[in-house]
Amino acid sequence: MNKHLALFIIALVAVAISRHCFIEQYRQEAKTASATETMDEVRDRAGAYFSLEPNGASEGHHLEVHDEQPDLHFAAATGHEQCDEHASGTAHEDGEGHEHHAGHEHHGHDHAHDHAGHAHGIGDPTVSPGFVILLRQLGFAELAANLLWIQMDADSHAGLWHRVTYALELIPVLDPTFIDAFLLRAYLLDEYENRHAEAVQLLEKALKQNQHRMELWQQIGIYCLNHGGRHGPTRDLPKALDAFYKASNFAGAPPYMIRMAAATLAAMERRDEAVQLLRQVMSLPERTEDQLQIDRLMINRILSGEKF
Amino acid sequence: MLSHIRLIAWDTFLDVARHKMLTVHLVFVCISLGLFNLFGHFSTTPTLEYRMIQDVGLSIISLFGFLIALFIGSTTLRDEIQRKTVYAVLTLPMGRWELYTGKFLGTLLAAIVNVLVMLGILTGLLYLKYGVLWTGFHWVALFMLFEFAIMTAMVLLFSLADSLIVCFSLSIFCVLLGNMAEHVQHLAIEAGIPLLGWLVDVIYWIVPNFGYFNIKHKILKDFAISPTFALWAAGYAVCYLFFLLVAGSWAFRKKDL
Repeated sequence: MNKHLALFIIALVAVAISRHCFIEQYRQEAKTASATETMDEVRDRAGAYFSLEPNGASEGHHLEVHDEQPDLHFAAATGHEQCDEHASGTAHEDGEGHEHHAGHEHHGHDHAHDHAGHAHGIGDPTVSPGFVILLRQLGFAELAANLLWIQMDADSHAGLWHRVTYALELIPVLDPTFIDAFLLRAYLLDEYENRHAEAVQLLEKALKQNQHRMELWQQIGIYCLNHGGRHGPTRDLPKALDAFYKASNFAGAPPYMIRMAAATLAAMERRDEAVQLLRQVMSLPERTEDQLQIDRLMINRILSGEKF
Repeated sequence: MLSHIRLIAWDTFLDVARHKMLTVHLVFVCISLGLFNLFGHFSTTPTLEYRMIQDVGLSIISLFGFLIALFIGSTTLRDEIQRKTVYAVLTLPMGRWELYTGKFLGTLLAAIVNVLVMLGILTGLLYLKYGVLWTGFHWVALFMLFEFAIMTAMVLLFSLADSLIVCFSLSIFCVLLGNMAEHVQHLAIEAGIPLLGWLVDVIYWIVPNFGYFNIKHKILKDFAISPTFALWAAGYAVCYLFFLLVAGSWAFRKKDL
């Protein structure tokens, strides 16, 4: 047998084997969707995207869905108005916490605000699924995700919620680190579709790829704590406690996070531990006078036997 | 045998360095320097500006890397054949495969040095502006080296074709296909034509999948690259380079010179 031909075949086999192993490892580590997954996602929902009429996917949504921020209610209910405004469902106001990549910073924040007065026309989508796929294939998956987010924002103003749902499902497929899409989709599931368990599952799925994002832990904690039964009929207090502890361990975690953990402990009727936890935190030098005052208020509420 | 290969490789590297590398570097330095002023007004946060410059810088390196690979790979051996200087070398007591391997290693070295210099310039400029050392630099450098080594070796193989246009077309086609391989395969499956599916499958396994060497999105978000992943990437790159070397040596041996 020709020596070159033998070497050629050996090299070809080596390429095939090494390629297979490399791609498997890539899929495990990169955690990006395969072409098949992206295409399937587009194929399943692209029809809705080209339609100006809801096709049933999200008919339950209302136009100004973003005007309500569910956890403000919790904040108010627990007397945390000063601090817990940051714990809003989609956390869009928190500029510093949204540095995951450049594009998000430009547009991720206005989204939660009042849209009154915006004159958005209802027309053909500027960012079509085909355009998104093209960008992804050219290596600009993040840009595609960002553009889709902007389009989704415009669609939400126009009341095209079937498109919003489609975009929020496709964005994480394109860029699994785009946590705003996970957070907003979870918010819609929880608040408007009453699919509370799915909202938590979605956030847990997001966590697999974004362990380092405090916002996800915080939101899981809020849904599982389920203060006042706003997030469905069930509560999962151990999970909520774990999530709040994890969120509070992040560098730069907001000061109210530990109070959320204390509220969860109180809800589990472990009030002594809750008070002890707050007293420990109060002894920290970085605790400001404002925060100390809210901590003291919280301790009083816990000791008074208030139900959380 | 090894001394022949080493001599030819070094001579090839010097030849490339004399003709093209310095000019390309100069252009790259100018563009990189311009970036710092161009993107200065995007200073909503220093982090954003830093990442934007990193992102654009890496994209420019990718583009220049491809162009350099294309020009180095397509001219190194081809020029020797056209100038007929290759005949003088072939009269020496050495095999054609040794000559090809020498050229192969020389062009690889040139491509590697090019990419390292470009990344070095970008890192240096980032350090000068922000005083921060780019922690993911070594990973970016490693994966770009794999990518451009394969690209250069592939172009060198295509340069054995009779026409320069064929060489350029095949190279550009393979690079595009290498970046879109997975998608093309999926579309072929969806088309439901068995012959097309089989053909695309074969191409999918043969064409290098450059998309998997692109770790920019991980690096820009400060994600860790595991040594296992890097090892598999290295394994794939080495195997593919070996495959291209064998194919090139074989084609060079069969070439009518």
